[in-house]
Amino acid sequence: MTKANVDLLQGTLDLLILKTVALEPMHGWGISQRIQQVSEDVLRVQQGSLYPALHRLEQQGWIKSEWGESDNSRRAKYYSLTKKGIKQLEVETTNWERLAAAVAQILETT
Amino acid sequence: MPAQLPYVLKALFTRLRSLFCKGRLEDDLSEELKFHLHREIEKNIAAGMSAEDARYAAVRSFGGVDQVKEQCRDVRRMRVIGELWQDLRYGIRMLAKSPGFSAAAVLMLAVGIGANTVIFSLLDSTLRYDISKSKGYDRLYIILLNNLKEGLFSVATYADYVDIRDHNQVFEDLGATSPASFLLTAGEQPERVLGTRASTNLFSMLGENPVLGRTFLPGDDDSVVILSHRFWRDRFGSDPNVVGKGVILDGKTLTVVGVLPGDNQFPPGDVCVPYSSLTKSSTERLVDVYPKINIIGKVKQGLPFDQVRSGVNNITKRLEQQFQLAPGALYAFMWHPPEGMSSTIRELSFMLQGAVGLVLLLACANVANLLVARAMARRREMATRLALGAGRFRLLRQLLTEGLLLSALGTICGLVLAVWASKSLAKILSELYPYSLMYLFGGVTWNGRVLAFTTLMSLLTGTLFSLVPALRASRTDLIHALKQNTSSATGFARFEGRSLMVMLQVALALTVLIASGLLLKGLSRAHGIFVGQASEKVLTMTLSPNRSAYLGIYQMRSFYDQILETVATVPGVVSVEATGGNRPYTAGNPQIVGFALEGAPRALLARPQARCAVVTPNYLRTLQIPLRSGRYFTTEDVRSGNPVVIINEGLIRIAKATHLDPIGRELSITYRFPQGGTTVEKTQSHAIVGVTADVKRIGATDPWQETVDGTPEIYVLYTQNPQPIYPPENSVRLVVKTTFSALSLVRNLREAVRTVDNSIAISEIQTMEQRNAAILAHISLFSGLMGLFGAVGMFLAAAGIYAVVAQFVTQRFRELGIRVALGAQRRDIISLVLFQGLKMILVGLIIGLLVAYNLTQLLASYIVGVDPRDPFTFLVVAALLALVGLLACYVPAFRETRVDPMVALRCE
Repeated sequence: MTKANVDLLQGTLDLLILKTVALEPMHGWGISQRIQQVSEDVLRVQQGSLYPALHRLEQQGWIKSEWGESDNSRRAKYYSLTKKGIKQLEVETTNWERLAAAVAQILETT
Repeated sequence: MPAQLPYVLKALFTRLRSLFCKGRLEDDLSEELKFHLHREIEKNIAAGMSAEDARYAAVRSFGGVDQVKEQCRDVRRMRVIGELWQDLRYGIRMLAKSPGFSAAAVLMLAVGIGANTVIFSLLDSTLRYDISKSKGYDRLYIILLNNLKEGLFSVATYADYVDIRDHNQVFEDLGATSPASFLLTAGEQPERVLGTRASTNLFSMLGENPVLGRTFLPGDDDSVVILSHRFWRDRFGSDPNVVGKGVILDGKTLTVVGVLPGDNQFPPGDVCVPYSSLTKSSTERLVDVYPKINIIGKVKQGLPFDQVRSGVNNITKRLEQQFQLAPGALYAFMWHPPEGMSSTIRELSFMLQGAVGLVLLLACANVANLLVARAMARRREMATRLALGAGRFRLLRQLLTEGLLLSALGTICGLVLAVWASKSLAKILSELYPYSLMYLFGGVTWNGRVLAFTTLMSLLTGTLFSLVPALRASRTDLIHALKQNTSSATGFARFEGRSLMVMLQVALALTVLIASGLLLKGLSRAHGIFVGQASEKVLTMTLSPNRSAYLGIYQMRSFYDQILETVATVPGVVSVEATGGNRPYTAGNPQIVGFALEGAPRALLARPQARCAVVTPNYLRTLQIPLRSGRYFTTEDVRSGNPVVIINEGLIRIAKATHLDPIGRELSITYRFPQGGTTVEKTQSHAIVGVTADVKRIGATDPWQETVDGTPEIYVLYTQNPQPIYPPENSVRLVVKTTFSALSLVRNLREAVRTVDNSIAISEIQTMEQRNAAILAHISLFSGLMGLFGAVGMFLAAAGIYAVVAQFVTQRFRELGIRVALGAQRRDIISLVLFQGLKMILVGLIIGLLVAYNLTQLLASYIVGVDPRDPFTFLVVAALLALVGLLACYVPAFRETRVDPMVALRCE
């Protein structure tokens, strides 16, 4: 594993998952691959945190799951965003942007 | 899953599903994770790895599948309940697997929790009055008017009561009560029942409403009666139509007008009758006559106590002026009815509560000890579960559940125990305090407070004793524990913890034991009681004739002569004596007479009074009341008719005549007695022939009866009693001396009395032995309970020591084996083990002594005459505990050290 990857901040995994499944229904493996690819291998999601996070988000009603057929015709559990999830994604995105801006500002001024 | 379902419902649905369709969800989860692994493997193969490598890499990157599963399960929160059920089932299996351990733990907890429940229930019922403030009980005061100058207690008469009631500024209303006994005619034999005489305004003042009928009306006289709930239940079978029916008391038919509620605690007794018109019309003031009047006042709303006090002081000042008494001669004791009646019991209950609390702590320590021992045995299990993905918190919870399960079982058994014990305690208490305090404790009352207390205690103990081993177990070092061979002895650090617990136990037990030792010593000293010879061959019994049947003094005398003669002929009877005055050997009001001692400085006392007992010649000798000078009465005194009298030392003290030789001096006695509707006064002169010791009495077993040691006492021969009846109630107490155990004669004695008069009521039949036991009973009860708790504590501590030492030996089995193999004698082994045990015990004892040294100061007010740091008690108790502790070490040391070196060496 390249040491380039970054430990995820508390709470950012949720945001990443929500953003990822917002595009299309996706299974757990797909989500982890997508995050890895899009971040160009900087972010790697540990399975040990991914699945509990998925279950937690589902429990909170932000995503829902359905069993479906995967591209290699195996049964897979697909997660997709709910209406509440869309709202939550907006909230979390704004929060993240504000946080990132704030951190950036501090780094610039000091 | 339909998306339009509201979120809450959906969540609930998943959670319920997670509870009931656990298998299905589990399958889903594994399938989901399996899918993930497969994709990972495929990806790796695509990247050019061999199938084997691909699989290995995928699994490695995934981490522990089971941990992930467990974390996912965590997210489904309903799991808590599911797991609780799982924990519970597992806990039950674990308990069932080691029944010996479980039984021991449950038993110890049951004893601890049961005892705590009983004592708390007792405490709760003594505190209940405080809670019933809504009834205005906090505004009630019992006012006891005392003549301090003459050492007389409770001198108020009915006329005084009326005077005080009509001329005061601080009380809303005042009522009067007197304890009374009645002859109840129901069925074949008359019986004696205890009850109360009351002013007709009493119940309206108390705000007490009857469950049936009414309370007294202002015009009621002593032809009506109000029944206690118990009497109504026992005698009338809770007859709803009891109002208007008749009850025959003292040969007179009284009409039932009402029944009091079941929780009514005041006035005491089974029947309540208004004062007779005779009592009401008496104009006597400030004398101690029968019936004794207790004044109960209800203070005006919102009046502070000092105003009430000064209001009452004004009353006594006014009375002093009116009756030309020295200033300060009259003093009114005031107390809330509940305070006066139960404060001692309440305080003692608090102490008992403290003691049982410590005992429970001891039991907890023992159970914790057992659990630690078991936790050590279960370390591999715990480690395995940790390795399989159980969270530490989850393990902690498992252990906590098991602990709470144990404490719940202990509580259930404890409650059963408590119900049984409280019934016995209630029985003992009601025998001790027939008049007033029996209401305080009717057994464990299942009110919210008691239940809350028990539940809380159960939870607390469960948490307490499971937390120690649980915290320890969850800290287990995985690799080490998994590899560890169970019988090897690496757990010495753990051992330190356990011996610490044993030290704590020894310290706790010592504290309880010292407290009980001090109480025992203090109580027995504070009441250095002379109660006569404790013989099973002396029987006493009270005879109460139908009052209306015997009127004249000669009729009475010949009647009793006849009874004495008849009883004396019963085979086995050595002699029969009788007394009319009921002091000191019966309950009830004493007869009070005025006296003047020839040659005593008269001016000191305006109207000295004494208690008077009318006796047969050998009464004092039979009861072995010590003679200080002079002689006892003889039959010659009866024959000659010269008026003689015997007094006690207290009388000489009160009369300031200690410098005089009383023998041969004249004592003039002024008797007051009712006759023909008025009170007659008659003065008669007697020559003093003897002086007896003061008969010491125990603190009031009946709170209405103030008892003071050294009260003046006069004994008059029954043939020289100028009153028409045996004062004060016309009852006679027989003292029968027998050749063998008197109880076997009771039937014959009863029959003998009944051949003379079939309408006579016989009560209070007991031997002097029983009587003394009864008088001492409340002391022995409390110190006995204290001692019992101390003993239980000691036993628990001993069990703790035993367990630890036994464990110690088992753990060091191999080492001991080596020692034996190298030539150590068995004696050496035993002394090695003993030395280890002794170290623990000694440290515990030192801690305990320090704790007790600082705590026993709390007892100071209860142990009059004993230094709360009495070195003797401290040392004796510590030595006793040390001895028991050593024994607890020796037994396992002796039993476990029969080490065959070969076995010991091979066993690892």
